Amino acid sequence: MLEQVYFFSLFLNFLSLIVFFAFALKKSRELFYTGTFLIGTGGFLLLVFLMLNGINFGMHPSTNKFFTYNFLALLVYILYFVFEFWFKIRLLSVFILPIGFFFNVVAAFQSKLTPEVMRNISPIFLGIHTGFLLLGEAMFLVSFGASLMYLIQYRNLKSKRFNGWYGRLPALEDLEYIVGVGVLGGFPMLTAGLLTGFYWAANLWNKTFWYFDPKIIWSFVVWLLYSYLFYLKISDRLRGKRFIILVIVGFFLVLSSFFITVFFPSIHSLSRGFGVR
Amino acid sequence: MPVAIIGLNHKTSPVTVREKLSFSMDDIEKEAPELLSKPYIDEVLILSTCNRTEVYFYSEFPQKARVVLEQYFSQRASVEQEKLASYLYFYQEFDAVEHLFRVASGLESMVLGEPQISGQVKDAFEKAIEVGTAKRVFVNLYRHTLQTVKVVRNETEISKNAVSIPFAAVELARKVFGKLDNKRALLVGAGEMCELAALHLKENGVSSIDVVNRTFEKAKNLAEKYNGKPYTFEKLYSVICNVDIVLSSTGSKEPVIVFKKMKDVVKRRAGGSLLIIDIAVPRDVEEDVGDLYNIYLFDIDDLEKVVEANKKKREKEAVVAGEIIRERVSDYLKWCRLQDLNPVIASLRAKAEEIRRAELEKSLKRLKEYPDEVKKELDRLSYSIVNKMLHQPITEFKKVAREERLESKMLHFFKSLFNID
Repeated sequence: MLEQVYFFSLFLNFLSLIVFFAFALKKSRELFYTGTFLIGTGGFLLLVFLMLNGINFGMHPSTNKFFTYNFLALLVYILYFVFEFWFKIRLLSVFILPIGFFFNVVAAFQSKLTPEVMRNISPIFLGIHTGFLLLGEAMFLVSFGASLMYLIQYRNLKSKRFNGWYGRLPALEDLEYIVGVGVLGGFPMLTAGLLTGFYWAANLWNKTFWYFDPKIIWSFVVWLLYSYLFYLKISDRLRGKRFIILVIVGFFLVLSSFFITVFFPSIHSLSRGFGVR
Repeated sequence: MPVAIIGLNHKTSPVTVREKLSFSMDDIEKEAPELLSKPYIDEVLILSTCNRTEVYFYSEFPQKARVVLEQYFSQRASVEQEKLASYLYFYQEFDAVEHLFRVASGLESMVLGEPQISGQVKDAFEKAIEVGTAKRVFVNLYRHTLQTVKVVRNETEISKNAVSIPFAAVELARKVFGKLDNKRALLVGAGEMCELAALHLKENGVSSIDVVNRTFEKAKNLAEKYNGKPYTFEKLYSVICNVDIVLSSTGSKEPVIVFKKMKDVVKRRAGGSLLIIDIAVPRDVEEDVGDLYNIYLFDIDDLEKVVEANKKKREKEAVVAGEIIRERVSDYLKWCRLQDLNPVIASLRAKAEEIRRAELEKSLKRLKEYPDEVKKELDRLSYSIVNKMLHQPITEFKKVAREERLESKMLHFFKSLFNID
């Protein structure tokens, strides 16, 4: 029954994506409202699905890829609503929601659709660690979406193309502001999530070299880049396209941090007895 | 709904004819009541702008009223009636209302979608109401016109986007900076187009506009006007370091803003975007400047391109607006038909009630001995029979009216059927 809720929500989210793409091609208020209704319902069902699983499980269910990706997708959907409500830029839907849906759909291809039962795991640490990290990363994903919009509008202006999306896309500086919000909001969350993870790992595996782990090292690289971006933003050192390009680089680092465990064995991969040393 | 319109505009007639038939507000005050006193004309609205003169009227016999108005126009313009007729257009019922809505929404204007015309239509209605030539029909038409203009504005982008060079400059500034509040601009040289653009920038929130000019006096005069500071030409690059928007239009044969110097400016600037709009021919700004980091350079051809693109957009929007308007016209006419019906229905009900009362009284006189319950029951019975009998024809009639099938013949037949006037 729970699984059916999940697949129905996935279907609604997919439908909303199609409607929003149609909205991108043909501007129409009705299409936008339909899309919003679909993603609203789909997102809500996803939330219900995750919550029920969490209640059954007794803690945050993000213990495997299926739940982690879905939780990330849900956060992106929620952030989309926050940003759309805040900035009233309808085209954000076309650039932000597909990123969320990407994780939504990758999750559906995972083999196990129930949370892992593990010994030795602290529900509090798990919740804080994954919660903060994923929220921070969701913020980065949103800033990536706005960065793409920036690049398109930038090209329109620099190469003097005044047809198509020139009229519908917002101003460059407005988009840069949204990107900045994503970076400024996401970085502290990323930091908090990582620190919790370090503290937790140090307590749990105090005599091992847990930090020589590909996922942890990669996360540190991501953190370095975003700390630089954070610094650039608060000190107002770099504005314009170069900042946007760095944000896009950051997006690919974040993306690869999710899939790195596929290629390199890590303590975050479940096959290696995650948390059970 | 016998609303009709007769008039001429910039498409159908030359200015030599239009000027003779133009009405000032004072003319309207004097001549509109005069028109109202002529035969066949029951309500009058005169709309006169530099591109059009139109008389909207309400009449039971629109064709006869048309002849009266043509005679009046011919006398006023001292042009022969046949000759004048070739400049005039005449619409009635649906077409007339559609024309009014299109005019008010700017779809018939020289610059498609321009917003001033709706204000002029509003003024014309207000005047007609003031002098008493607009009565029940036109007051309602006024309300529907305002609503339609609002719907068209909200649901289409007919009046959005710049369609003139100075406004195109503002639009580009908005596309780079978003809000223009607290942005600073610099005017280099003093062309007419540039000054207009500066004025629009100011209206859109730009906080100050500095001026650089070869003659310091001129710079000073202009700077005062725009609440900025005047500078001599030597200071040009150091001033550019501190502004967000540069509007350039000098008479110089050589470029005034060159790549080599601007490279330094980019290094010295605080990092925000710089928008340069070059309206001069020959151009004031070297083309390479547009390749520098965070600089957006547009010349007169680019602005022209913006205008062209926006005009095309407006044409597309005009099609959508036209559809909205046609829907609104049929809504309005439907509403009117129901309004026409109301007095007929009211008098039918009154008549039925009158008959019922008379008959009831007769019977009650004869039934004096009977208890009150019986009398009350008789009252209820008669009331309910009358109502049930009337219910079907009234509903059916309203339905016919809503579906646009109600003809005046039917209305007459209905009236004679029940003997009401």
